[in-house]
Parts: sequence; C-alpha cells; structure tokens
Amino acid sequence: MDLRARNNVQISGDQAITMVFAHGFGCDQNMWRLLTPSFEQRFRTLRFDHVGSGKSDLSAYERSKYDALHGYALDINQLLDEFVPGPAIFVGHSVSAMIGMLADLERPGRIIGHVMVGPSPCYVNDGDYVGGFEREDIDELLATLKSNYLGWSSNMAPVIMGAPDRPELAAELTNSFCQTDPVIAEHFARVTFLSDHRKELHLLQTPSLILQCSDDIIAPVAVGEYMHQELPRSTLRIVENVGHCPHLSAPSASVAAIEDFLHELT
Amino acid sequence: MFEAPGSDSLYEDAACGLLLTQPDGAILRANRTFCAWLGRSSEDLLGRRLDSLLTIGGRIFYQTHWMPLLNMQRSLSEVKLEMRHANGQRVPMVMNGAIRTLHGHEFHEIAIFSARDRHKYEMELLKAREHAEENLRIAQATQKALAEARTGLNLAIDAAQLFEWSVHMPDRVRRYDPNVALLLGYPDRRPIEPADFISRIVPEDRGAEAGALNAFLDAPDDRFQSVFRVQGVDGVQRWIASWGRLRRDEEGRATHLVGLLQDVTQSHRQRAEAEDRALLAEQTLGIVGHDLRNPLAAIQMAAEILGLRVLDASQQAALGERIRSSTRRANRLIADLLDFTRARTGRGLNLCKALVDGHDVTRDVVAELTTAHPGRSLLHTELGDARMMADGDRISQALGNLVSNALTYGSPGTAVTVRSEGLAHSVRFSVHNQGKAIDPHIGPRLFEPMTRGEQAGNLRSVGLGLYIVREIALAHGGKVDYVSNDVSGTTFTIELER
Repeated sequence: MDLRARNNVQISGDQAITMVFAHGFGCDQNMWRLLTPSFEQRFRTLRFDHVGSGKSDLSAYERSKYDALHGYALDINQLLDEFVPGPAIFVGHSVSAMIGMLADLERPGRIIGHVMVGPSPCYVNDGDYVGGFEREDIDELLATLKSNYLGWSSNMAPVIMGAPDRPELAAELTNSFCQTDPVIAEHFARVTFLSDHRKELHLLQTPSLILQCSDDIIAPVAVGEYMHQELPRSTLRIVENVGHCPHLSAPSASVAAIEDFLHELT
Repeated sequence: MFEAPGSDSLYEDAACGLLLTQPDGAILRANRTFCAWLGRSSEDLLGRRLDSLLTIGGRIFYQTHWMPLLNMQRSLSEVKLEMRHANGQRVPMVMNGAIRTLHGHEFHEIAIFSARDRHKYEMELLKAREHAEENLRIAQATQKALAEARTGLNLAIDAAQLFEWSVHMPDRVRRYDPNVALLLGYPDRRPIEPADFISRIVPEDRGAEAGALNAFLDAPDDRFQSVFRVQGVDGVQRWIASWGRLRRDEEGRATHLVGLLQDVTQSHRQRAEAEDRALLAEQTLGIVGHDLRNPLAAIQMAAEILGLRVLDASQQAALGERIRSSTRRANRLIADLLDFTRARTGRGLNLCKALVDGHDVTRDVVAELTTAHPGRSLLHTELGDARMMADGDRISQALGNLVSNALTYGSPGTAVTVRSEGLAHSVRFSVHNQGKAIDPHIGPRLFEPMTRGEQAGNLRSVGLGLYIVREIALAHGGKVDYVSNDVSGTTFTIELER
C-alpha cells in the first residue's frame, strides 16, 4: 500500500527529530499552517490527513478498521515505520492526541514527547467525570453534520464579496479543507465523541504537554486538569483562548507553550 | 423626490440577521431583525458569545468547523446551524461569515438567514435518503440471500450431477446451461447452443425427443419427461433423462419450461443387465425343465423295468444301452447349459487350442454317434488337408450337436452326411440331412437360445445346441450358417480359420 498517498503525507526538512502533526475531527493538515513554520528550522516536520479526511485516499476507509481510534493509531505507527527513522514528537489536535497516545502505548519508544492540543479522553459526562456533553448532545451534533453535509456541493466555501478584504489563502485550500464524505464524517464524529480512553492515560510514560484553552466547550478546563492528573509525566499549559483551535486563533501563545515543552524535552 | 433609507436603518432592519463579533465570538452588535428572530433584546445579546445561542450539537460543529474554517479562509458561506429562540424553540439558520480587520483589530461579520422551510425540506430529503438507504440495505440483503440460495442450489445440482435446461414458452427457444457441455462429452463447461445439443441427439431418437417436447408445449401438462440418447463428442453414447416443470407468472401463464437433465446411462445399462439376467434364469429353468426330463424319464423307466422282473442277457444289454445313451444325453445337456451360462454372463467359452486334424475330430464324432444310433446311416467325407489350430473337444461338441440335430430332424431312413474339408485358409465342416425344411421365418433366430424347430415335440431339443455351435464358431473366429429347403434338405456349415 502506498502510505504516502493513503494519508497524503507531506514531509519537510531532514533534521534528526521529526515533529508529526495530526489534525483532529472536522479538518485536515492545513490546520497546522500557522504553527509549523515556527518549528521547521529545528525539526523535520511530517503532516498528514487521517484516512477519510482531507486529501487522503477515501478508498482506504474501512468502516470496521476505523470503528475505534485504534484503527487510526495503527496508521500512525505505519507512518512512523515508513517515514520516521529517528525519534518523533507527536503533535495531536483534539482526538488525535488520544490517537497518538494509543499508538505510543502500542509500540512504545518511538515517540519521545506528546503535544496534546485540546485533548479529551472522554467527551461524554460519566458520573463524577465531566466530559462536557451528554449523549443526546452528540446525537444533535450528528444531526447538524448531516444537515450541513446534505447539500454537499457547497463546502462552506469562502463568501464571495465585493469587499476588498480578500481571503488570504488560496482557493484550492478550501477544496480539500473539511471536504469529507458525509458518511465518513458522521462515522468519525461518532467514533471520536463516543470514545473513552480514560483507563489508558496512566499507562503513558512519555512526557506530554497538555495545551489547554482557557475557554473551550469541546475540551473544558476540567478535562485538561483531569488529564494532567492521570497522565504520569504531563505538563498542563492553559492558553488564553476561546475555542478549540488555539493553533489557529492563538498561534503565538501556542507556539510559546510548545517551545517551552520542547526545550525541556530535547 | 423620496428619501432612501439610511445605512443605519438598512442595517437594523435588513432582510437578514446581521452580527458583528469579536474573534472569540462575543457579540458587539446585533441588528433588530436578528433580535426579533430570536425573541431577544439587543442588550440581552451584547457580550454574549455567538456559540452560546446554538444548540449544543451546533456548538461542537461551530468549534470544529465554523471557527477553524473561518480562520483559515477568512470567510465562510452557507453553514447551517440551529439557534435557540428565547422561548427555547429551535430556529434553523444559515450563516455566512467574514473576517474584517480594522486598525489592527479583527472583527467577524456574520449574516444570518432564517431557514425554516429549507430545513423542513432538507429534513424531508434526509428522511427520503434514509428510507432509500434502508431499501437499498434490504435489497442488498435480499440479493445476498438469493445469491446464497443459488450457490446452495448449484452445489446440490452439481452433487447430484444434474444439468439445467429450459424452454422459453412463447417462442419455444431452448436454453442449455454451460455445464450441459459435460453431458455432451466436452472436458469442461462451455456455451451450448440449442442446435448443438439437438445435433448431438442420436438420429433414431431425435424425432421422438422433439415430438415429446412439442407435444408438451402444445398442451402443457404439469410435468415433462423424456429419455433419449446423445452421441458425445468424446465418442461415448449416453442415455439422458430430461425432466421439466412449468414456471408460471403472476397471472398463471406458463412462461418457461424449466428442467434438469441427467445421465442415466448407468441405470439404463443396469436395468438391461437385470433384464438379461432374469431372462437367463428363465431360460436356464426352461432347459432344465424341458430337456432334462426326457433322459431322466428314460433312465427311470429302465430302472423300474430292472426292478420288476428278471431279464435275459440281450434285454439287459438293451436296457443298459438305453441308460447309457440317456445319461450321455443328459451330460451333453448339462455341458451345453454350463457353456451357455458362461457365454451369456460374458465370460465366454473356454478354448484350449492345439494343432488338431479336422478329419480325425470328425471321424471320432461320426463313429461315436453311429454307435449311439444303430440303424441310422452316417456318412463321412474327408477332403484336403484339415490340420488346424483349434480346440478339438469344442469342435467335436459343435459337430456332435449338428449331427444329433440332423439325426433328429432328418427323415428316418435317409443318410446324414458329414464333410470335413480343408480349404486354402480355413477348414469347413458341414452336416446334411434330408427332410422337411426349417421354417424360413426363423432365419438367424435359429441360433438364439431356446429356439426350437417346428417338429421338436418331445424329441431332443435344439434349444441350446445351435447357440453353443455358434458360440464355438465365434470363439474360433469362424462362422456358422445353414441352407434349408424341402427338396435338397438341410445343410449346416461351420467354417473355421486354421
């Protein structure tokens, strides 16, 4: 199998340590555009799209394989085997933070550090645990997804306006970003938001940074604190940011937090 | 002149909701239209974050799609989300958004359109799609079940070595499954055209096969059945049984004759063999019943005479001779019976070939039968060199049968003439008697077992004798024949290769 095509792998640089950037649910590797330039001087970077997202090979999407995050973790280890000869720092946004953890637990020793951007081990409230959502909320999300993917010809493209404030990014970007098969999107959403990997957290021995936004409904601060408590070698950094994508809306603060972590690590 | 609405009223009462927010979604301005749609006052909305107006599922979508996309693209169109009216009701909305930078500050400008009807329509579409998907699933499951049933049926048909064929009723076109090729002696399956199949039916059966099918199609019955032979491309002739039943459509009209073919050669052969065996048993019993009774009766009578009174020497000698000749006859019958059984069960006659002189063999037979039939005239003529490779005992058995017949059927008081004659490549033996001709209608059947001459009556049976003669001749690679008429009498001729 051509892994490069399967996961639309993009590699830059030839330094010893590779930073692997994994996007979360709803997006693709373009998410990292504002972040990666800060690290390309010192690190080799590898960006990719999960199977089913972005410009990945949709024909590689097997429902049974990707019915749990382990299927995605398996892909991570394959990518590490194929493209990362040296140590790796895994930068995972949202659900990909857990995918990176599962890959590490599966084959320890290849990832020397995890940068977890807005991670959550479990999105649904469970007894004393506050994940942020009830089960019905997830069903509501699935309905919203369906409703937005219905037309499908319009991919939430930029507004065409008479205003001079032109979109800064190339139009081709919009053609892949968020452009997902609706059935796959719904499946990925279901697998993501119904996943529960709280029990595995204490097993991870690799140093990890939890990059927690100060105001994020998807991964509330309580979740970041819970993770910090459960993950043995973790650092919790709270970034002043509203939303779930600090690497987009607060890139400088995100970079600073990551730099500190890398400094300790390397 | 008229006064056009100012930009402020254009903003406040625009035909869509208009929002201005900070990058984190906090609302800076909301027009009257938007406030009215959500049943909230402007004061109520100011400072609130846009996503707090959404349903929770909508918030996740907003965070995972709207915000990243807007940041990446700087603008975004036609995102559909549901908002909460002050009264708790959901209000479906379609939103466009763009980022505008002013004096180094970013602002998000959002236009919002109520989408109730579009939402309803989309829900209908979704429902219809789900319905269609459900139907597709059912159809696929049905198809799968069908495929599985078909696989099972194929296996069963294959296991029973059956072959499918059918006839399309309206136009009477036959169709044969490619596996039928195996029945026609091909090594593997291949398309078989109806004409190919029909041309493989042996000519004798072709008419009957077509006739049976046409008769059925003319007046369809419930079941069709016919049996015929096909000549395989591999040179093997096979008996084929063909069965069929009518397939009918919903209106009960017959659309197809659907059936199976089966190679019944083996059962056919077995039945023929069983019939043969039954016939053989019957024949054997007949021979035992008819032919052994006479000599046994003669012996029994002689024994009773011996027990009744004292006999003089000549009477005793005569009785002894009678017992001897009856025993001889019974022995010969038993020998014939054994040979007959061997020949009929396919084991053939035993031949023990050696260099013999046909004249010597004939002379011995004539001498023996002369002694056995005092008062009858037996002549022997020898011609040429009659040395040959043959089974002498078998030749004398055959000649004995022919001479016995001649003595039995020949007119009393006339001579029986036996000739042994050496020809270039063969030796010919002939036995001639005068007397009434053999019924010309009997013809070659004369040599079949249990065929008797007209006058047989209670005299010595020819039931097996001629059959044995023929078998002996055939076993030697020779032949037996006869000519018979009332004037010149009857001559049987055996001609054997040297």
